[in-house]
Amino acid sequence: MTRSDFPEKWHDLFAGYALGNLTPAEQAELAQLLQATPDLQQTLREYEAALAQLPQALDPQAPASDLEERILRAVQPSPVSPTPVPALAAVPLFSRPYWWALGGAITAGIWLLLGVDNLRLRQAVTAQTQALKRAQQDLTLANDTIQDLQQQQDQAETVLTSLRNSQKAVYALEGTGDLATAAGSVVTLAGESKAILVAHNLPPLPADQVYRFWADVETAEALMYCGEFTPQDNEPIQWSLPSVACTAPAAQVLITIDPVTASTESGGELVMHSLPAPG
Amino acid sequence: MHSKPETLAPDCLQTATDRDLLTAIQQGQVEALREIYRRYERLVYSLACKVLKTPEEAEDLTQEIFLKLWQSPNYNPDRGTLSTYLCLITRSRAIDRLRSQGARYRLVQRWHHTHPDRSKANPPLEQASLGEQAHRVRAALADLAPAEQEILEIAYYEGLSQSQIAQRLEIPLGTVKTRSRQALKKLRRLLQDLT
Repeated sequence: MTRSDFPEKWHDLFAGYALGNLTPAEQAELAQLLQATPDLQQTLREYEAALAQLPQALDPQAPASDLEERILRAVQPSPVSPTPVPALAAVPLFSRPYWWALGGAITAGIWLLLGVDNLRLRQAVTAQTQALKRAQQDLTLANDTIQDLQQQQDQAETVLTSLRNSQKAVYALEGTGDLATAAGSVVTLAGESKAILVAHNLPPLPADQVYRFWADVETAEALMYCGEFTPQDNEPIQWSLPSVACTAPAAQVLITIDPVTASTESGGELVMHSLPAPG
Repeated sequence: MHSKPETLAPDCLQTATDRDLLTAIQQGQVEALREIYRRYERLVYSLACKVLKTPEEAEDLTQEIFLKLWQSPNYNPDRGTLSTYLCLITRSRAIDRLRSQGARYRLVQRWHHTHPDRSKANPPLEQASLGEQAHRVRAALADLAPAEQEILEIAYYEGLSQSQIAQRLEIPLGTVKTRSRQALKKLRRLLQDLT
C-alpha cells in the first residue's frame, strides 16, 4: 500500500495531529492505527515537517549584528583558563626548560597562594579590629548609660527614703502669669530640712535669676523665705530649707523668680502657688 | 580505549554538514556554534519576530535557542533536519512566551518521540540551500487558497485554539478544523520531497 492509497480519513488524522486539533476520539483512533501499522509514523512525520517549513517562507530578518558575539561570549570559557598547559605538554618531559618552567610555575603558584592568603588574613584582621572598636564604643556607651541609671536610681531611693522616714507636708502647685501651664508638687521634709519639687513646664532661668520658695507659716508675720533652686531636666529638684519653720505645715507656699543677687526679704515675680488642700 | 575526537579545522567549518558541526559543538568547539548560528540566525530570528512581534523579545529568544543548543544539544541529527528542529523549538518557546500561562506546546517532546530513525547522512532538506527551500515553501503556500493560507498561518504563528481561530475569522468551528487540515494536506503534498 502506498501513501497515496491511504484512506482520506487517515490523512485527516495525520494533519489534525500535526495541527494539534484532534478530538479525543480521533486521538484514540490514530493511536490504534499507529499501533497496527507502525510504518505510518513516517507519514505522520511528513505532516509535522511540512508544517515546520512555514517559517522558511518568512521574509528573512537579521538580528542585531552584535548578537553573534554576545552568544559566543556567553559560551566562551573563562579567560583564566589554563592556557599554559598545552605549551608545557609540548616540551619534552625531562628537559631542563621543562623543570625551570615547572619550578617557576610552582613558585609563582606558592607566592600567589601566600599573597592571597596574606591579603585575606589582613582583611580579616582589619575587619576584626574595626568590629572590636565598635564593640568597645558600644560597651563604653552602655557603661555610661548604666551609671546614669544608677545615679537616677540612687536619687530616687534617697527621695523615697526621705519620704518614708520624715514628717512631711505636701503641696500641690499650679502655675500663674507667664507660667500658667506649669504644675507640680512640693514636699517639705521635717527630719531632713529639705524640700523636694516635682514640676512640669518649669523652664530653666538665665544664669542671673533663680526660683525661690516661700511659705506662709503661722509663726511668721510675712512670707518666709524657704530656699531657692534651679530646675534640671524635669528631674526632682531638692534644696535645703534654711529654717526649721519652713518644714511646718503652711497655709500656702509660693514660688517666685528673683535675681540671684536680690534680697530674700521679699519675693519677685510670682510664678506658682499652692492649691488649697482638698476637703 | 577510545580515541580523542577530532576537532573541525577552521577552514572546514563552512563546508561541514550540520551533523559534523553539532558533533563539534558537543566537544566544546565554539567556532562550530558560530557557523551554525550564521546558517540559521535569520530563520530563527525571523520566526521569533513573527510570533513575538518585538525585535527585543525575538533577539532574546534567538540567544536562548542557540545557547540551549550549546548547553544541552538534545537535537539528534538522525531524527530530522536541524532547520526543522530549530523551527520547532523556536516556535514552541515563542508561543510559550506568548502564553505566560497555559498548556505548553509539546512539539519538542513530540519531535523526540516520533522521529525515531532518520539515518540518512545528507537528507535532501539539509542539502538544499535555505534560499531554495524558502522559494519552494513560498510557492507551495501560494498554491493554497488564501483562506487556507490564512488559517494555517494563524494556527502556526499565533498558537490559537480552534475556537479562538473560529472567533477571529468568524467561521464555524468545524470549518476551522476542516479548512486547516485540508491546507496542511495540500502543503505536505507540495513539499513532500523536502520533508
